[in-house]
Amino acid sequence: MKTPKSAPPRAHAWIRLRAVPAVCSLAVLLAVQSARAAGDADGDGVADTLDNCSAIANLDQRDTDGDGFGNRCDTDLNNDGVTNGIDVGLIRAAFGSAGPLADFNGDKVVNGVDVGILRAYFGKAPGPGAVPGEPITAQQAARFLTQASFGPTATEISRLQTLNDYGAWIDQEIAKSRTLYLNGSRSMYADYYTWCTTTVPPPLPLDQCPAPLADTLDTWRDYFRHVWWLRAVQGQDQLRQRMAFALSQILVVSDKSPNLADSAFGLASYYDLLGRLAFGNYRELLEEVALHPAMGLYLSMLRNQKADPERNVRPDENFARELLQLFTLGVHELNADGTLKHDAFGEPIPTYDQTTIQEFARVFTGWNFANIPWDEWQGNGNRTVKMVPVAAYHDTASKLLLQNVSLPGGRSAQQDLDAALDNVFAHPNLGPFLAGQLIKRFTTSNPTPAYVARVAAVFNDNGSGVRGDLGAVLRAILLDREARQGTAAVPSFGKLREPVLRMTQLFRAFGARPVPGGDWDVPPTVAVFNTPSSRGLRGIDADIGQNVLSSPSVFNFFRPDYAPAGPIASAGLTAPEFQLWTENTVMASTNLLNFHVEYAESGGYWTYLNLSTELSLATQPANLVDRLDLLLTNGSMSAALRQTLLSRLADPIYPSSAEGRLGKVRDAIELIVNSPEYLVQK
Amino acid sequence: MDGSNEVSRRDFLHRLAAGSALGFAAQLPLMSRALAAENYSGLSDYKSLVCVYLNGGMDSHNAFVPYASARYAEYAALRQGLAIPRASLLPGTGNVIGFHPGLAPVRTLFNEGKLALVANLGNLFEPMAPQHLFDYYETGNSAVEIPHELYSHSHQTELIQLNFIRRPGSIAAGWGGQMGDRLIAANVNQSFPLAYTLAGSNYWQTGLNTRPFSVQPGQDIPRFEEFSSDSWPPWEPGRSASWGEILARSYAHPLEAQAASAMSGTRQRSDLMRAALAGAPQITTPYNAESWFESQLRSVARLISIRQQVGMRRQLFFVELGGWDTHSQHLQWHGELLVELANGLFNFQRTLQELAVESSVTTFTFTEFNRTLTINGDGTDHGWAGDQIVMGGAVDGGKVHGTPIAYSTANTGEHWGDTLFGPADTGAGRFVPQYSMDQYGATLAKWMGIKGTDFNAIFPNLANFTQPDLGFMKPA
Repeated sequence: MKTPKSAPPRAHAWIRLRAVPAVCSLAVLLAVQSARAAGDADGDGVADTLDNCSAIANLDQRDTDGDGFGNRCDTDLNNDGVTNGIDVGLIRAAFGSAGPLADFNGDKVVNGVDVGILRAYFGKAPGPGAVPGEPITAQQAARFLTQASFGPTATEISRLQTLNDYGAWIDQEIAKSRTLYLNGSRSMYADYYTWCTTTVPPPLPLDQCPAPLADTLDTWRDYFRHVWWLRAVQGQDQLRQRMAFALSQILVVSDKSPNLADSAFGLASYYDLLGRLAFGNYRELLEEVALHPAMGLYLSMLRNQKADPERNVRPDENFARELLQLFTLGVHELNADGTLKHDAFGEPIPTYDQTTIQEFARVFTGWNFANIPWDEWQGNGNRTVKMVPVAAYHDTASKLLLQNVSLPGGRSAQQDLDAALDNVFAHPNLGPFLAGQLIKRFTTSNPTPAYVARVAAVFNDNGSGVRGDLGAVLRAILLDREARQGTAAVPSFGKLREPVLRMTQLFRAFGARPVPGGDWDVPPTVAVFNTPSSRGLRGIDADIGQNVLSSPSVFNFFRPDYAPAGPIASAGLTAPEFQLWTENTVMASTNLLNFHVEYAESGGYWTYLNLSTELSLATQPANLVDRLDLLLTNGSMSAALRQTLLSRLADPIYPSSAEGRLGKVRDAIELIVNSPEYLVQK
Repeated sequence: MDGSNEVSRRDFLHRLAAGSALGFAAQLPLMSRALAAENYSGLSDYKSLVCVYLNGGMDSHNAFVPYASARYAEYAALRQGLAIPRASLLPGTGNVIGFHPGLAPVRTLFNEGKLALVANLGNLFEPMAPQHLFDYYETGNSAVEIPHELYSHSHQTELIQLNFIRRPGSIAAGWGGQMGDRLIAANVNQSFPLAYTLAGSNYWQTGLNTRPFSVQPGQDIPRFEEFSSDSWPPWEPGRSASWGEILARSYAHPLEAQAASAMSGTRQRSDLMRAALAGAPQITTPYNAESWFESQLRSVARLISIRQQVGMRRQLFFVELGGWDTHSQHLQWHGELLVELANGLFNFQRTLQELAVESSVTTFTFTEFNRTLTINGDGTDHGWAGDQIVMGGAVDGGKVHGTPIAYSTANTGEHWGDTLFGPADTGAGRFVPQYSMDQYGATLAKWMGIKGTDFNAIFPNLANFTQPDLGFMKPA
């Protein structure tokens, strides 16, 4: 009786991309007129915002492989993200031919000139912003690291400058060994247990010590939080962790649910999964997420059962709905650039409707904890081991999925799950939906449709025919010309720093030291970060509105389309992080950051910032401001802010004593980290 | 573009397509939504609204159960394993409604005539039947305008607060905020905030000019500790002045401009609020400080207690109790939340009595949707029409206002494999509401003093319903 709405056939990636040069040629006319106003770094008459090689002149804008990078700056012939030996082999094979792919300069022949161009880009990522032969400045490095890590440090800025190649930095990050959260959380718990039960004299009565570690034992969320803060600030695999953090705000589970508040190990295990597949394939990640007990508990897919008409029981729709709405497709059909499609009335087109949700709800039936029977108390379930199918509770009737794909009856829970996730994964919304969401987590709240389209195209095909390659997607997000050029390309480029990232950046920039025995649930031998907030670092969410895996609902801390009333909303822009930006969270964040700058001391009870380098510059205000500008505002500080700081530091009220010098350093940091220029990452 | 124009334009197109009798002229009042068309500066009494947002989709089926035995039997047959036993229900005056056993304090207020229920409410743009929704599913179009993205938390949450569908670039002005834009004229001190949220950002209190001031429940208004005018360390006043200089600059980047104005606004308003609250009277009515919900309401009471000192005649408050998305463990979680809700409302109403504003403050609940009447085992899923609570001395209490949701065990058809339980069922016990959030809001707005053409400006769908006042407030 239902006539499913027809959806357009999935556009093959190259069809869409073919259109790009056409758009550009139209754009050239417009751009030539407005080039100066809009910024045209290479002076080829094509505005930077539109230029497919913005750092080197290419008036023809040729883009033979349709990847959005002009031939002139795209010596990455096999589209693996870097110009390397493979590309040398390919240009050698094409030598003397007409190209056109390897004809970089457009003279209709692949010759020594083109080889020379390739050499200039060797070891680099291709793309509009790629600059042949020019070193990455410290400011550029700091800006990149602000986007790609939990905050730049002097060491990391040097490392990236030495590499002189963003793509190579990403390669190294991907190759690094991975932080393990479950191991870390369990070992901290075990350390506390050992300390509590073996110390002489006993620090606590034995019956107040925790139970010994066991496979199915779980405990209050804080052991995961302790480990997360340590690793976010100190961990070496920064890019992977930053991606896991981004994914944790899309594939949301939260300890605010009564089912997960007492589940440090379940949460840690879930976070391990996000880290493990941070550069993996989204299809695999979706399946692992669907079958993780933390998600199973959070969105009640665990023990979801087939219909029982006698008792008016239907399958639970919770996971099915949020999978489609929040994890994969969104409620409206999207164009390949993430903009909304519209029907004849000018209305957005629903991606699915309630009947679709009910069909998917029937798919996701018959899954249970791996270690206990269906009816046993869920508290005994192992929250760190993938769920398993239980045939008796699975709905085996046929199902109608998205885009009129029909699933035959009689299949197992695993077969149905595989087919349903394949069905979702193949939907054309997925690339642009996820691209838009991820871009907002890393670089800007307001990407141009073209930026979304370029990233979505990489999601659709990583250059080797693979769909859903998250490593390639992240590389595309960070290396995109819009990401690298920032406000030079798009004046509104950037995002409000979320409270957690303000904290991590401060801690990383100034080498914050965790405190031995710094919380009630760790022994004196274990150091953790803490804060003087009313509930400690592990509980700051109550004050600043955010903590890891702790959003108020599956809708994350902020909606991707949130726009605060006023100029932002009126301009049609979004600024998701402002949803958390209320009088009390603003004050709490500022007070928390300033406390660490102002009061924490070496050897004291609170997380201590090491300001020794800054202190050595206190008598050279200009140098002090330069250093802070690099670490905090990526060298982009305005002349006005700089002048305010220099005037402040020139105030004779500071004594020349150590205390006065420290006062200067602290004041400069506090003024910067609470300035609008810092608060908006650009 | 203003969101209401979106709605009316689309509405118009749909009507055109459907050949509706309501023509363009009926839409005209909606097309121009400006600030106050009426004058509110003459309001001299004190009134405020306290909005209790039940975040997650509160199940009213198990909260307010039909008590008459024939209707109870239908309920129990449909709710099956999650039905509340009749013997444990607490019948209210008139024996129409049996309150959930966790709602004893709410029943007390109901029986005292200080609390009423408003039945069968939900997001709705115009009267409609389930068939309209089925048409929409099947053809992508319908003769009536249907609230979009039904059953989605985020979209329905926005809709109860805005009464129109937000699109990129539309100004998200909620019906509370738009009341605030107008009623601010009544306040003696218009530089002091009119709207307060104890639960973060929300669209309900956001108007064209109105913005909620956010207060941390259970705490005094803090200050920017290191940017104060304290004399220690000696350079703190200088640091503080420099920060003021930084915030006062104009910023070309729209996000920086927003951050700057939010920071400086927070600084100014917090200083005002803190000073005012320092003189707040002691409140002696007990409350449970362990409950986040009760802490919010206690903070509201404190803010109300200083209304005269700060020159307030009209105010809006927003509090929240979350956790109602009971897809599983429904009986336990829902039951616990009802206890917290009931105790909070009861203690709050008693506090208002202590402050002698019992009839000047009206508290009301809303939630994005009710839950399915049928179950998924140990839980329920997203539904639509439900019942809400209104509380206060001005409420026509002790009654259920409106026609209750009509459900029936008699099979009235089937859609997409779901049995339809009654003529309003869209499947599995997700009922089309009889009354819209526009009507609910307009009834409250009328009590607050909104008049004339401002109703249709604030409530863009009100003209589509024959009853602009649901009658749950006592006649003035």
